[in-house]
Amino acid sequence: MHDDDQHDELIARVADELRAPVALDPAFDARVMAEVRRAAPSRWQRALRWWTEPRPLRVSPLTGLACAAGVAALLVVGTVSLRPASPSPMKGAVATGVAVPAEPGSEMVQFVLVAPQASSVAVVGDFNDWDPRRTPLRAEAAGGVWSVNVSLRSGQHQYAFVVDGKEWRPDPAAPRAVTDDFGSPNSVIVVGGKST
Amino acid sequence: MALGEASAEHPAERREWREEIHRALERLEADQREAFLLKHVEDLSYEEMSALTGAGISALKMRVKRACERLRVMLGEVQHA
Repeated sequence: MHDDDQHDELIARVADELRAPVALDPAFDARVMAEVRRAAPSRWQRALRWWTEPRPLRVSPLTGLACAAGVAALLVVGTVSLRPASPSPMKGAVATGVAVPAEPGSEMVQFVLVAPQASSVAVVGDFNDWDPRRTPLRAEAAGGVWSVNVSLRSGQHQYAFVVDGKEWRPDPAAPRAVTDDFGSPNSVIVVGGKST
Repeated sequence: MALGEASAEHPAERREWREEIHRALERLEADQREAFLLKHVEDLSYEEMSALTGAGISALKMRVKRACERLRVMLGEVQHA
């Protein structure tokens, strides 16, 4: 009996020992935190990683289709808005001279005039001795849009449109010239980004 | 002095006593070790142990009894060594 009590006491001591909290090295916390700080990236490293590391994106087919449609719409809008000859719904005359790259020292400029009632349109300017016969505009298929491409040397040029061989019109889409040598308003175009 | 009476004043002996306990526990059958720890260390009732382990109460009592007997033998040998 006494032996049993001793053994029960033994079990109690075993249980006490197993219940006792495990004593950790006092420096343990400090070592763990130092390791965590060493491993943790800074805010900038995290931001850089967010931008540079590839990661899978989950996109539904519908979203993908919408993105593709958006890109296609941007391309269409961009292409259309880059075309200077796009007809304007405005009745009367709308025109513009747009410079496009050509040979060095000069650029190809497209002159456009919307003149639905006109039977002929020409552009005259300091680049063709103001001669209405030298640079006629061609009528496009619809909308009364007239256009011609002219190679102009870099610099500032004055010009105007001659409608039906007699009516002198400035380009409604271009700035007017300050000086007017022939008694009619002229327009100004600057080719190559510098004026002469 | 026997290992089982090691005190906090003798950390080396206490560590040795703890290691002996763990060695003895490792030598128990897994179900006996589980039953002993739940009963004597976690202080669960046999009903709670039964709900936890799914074993019957009488089986758990038998496992605890056998675990205690084996621990007494193994640690008694150490204690009287």
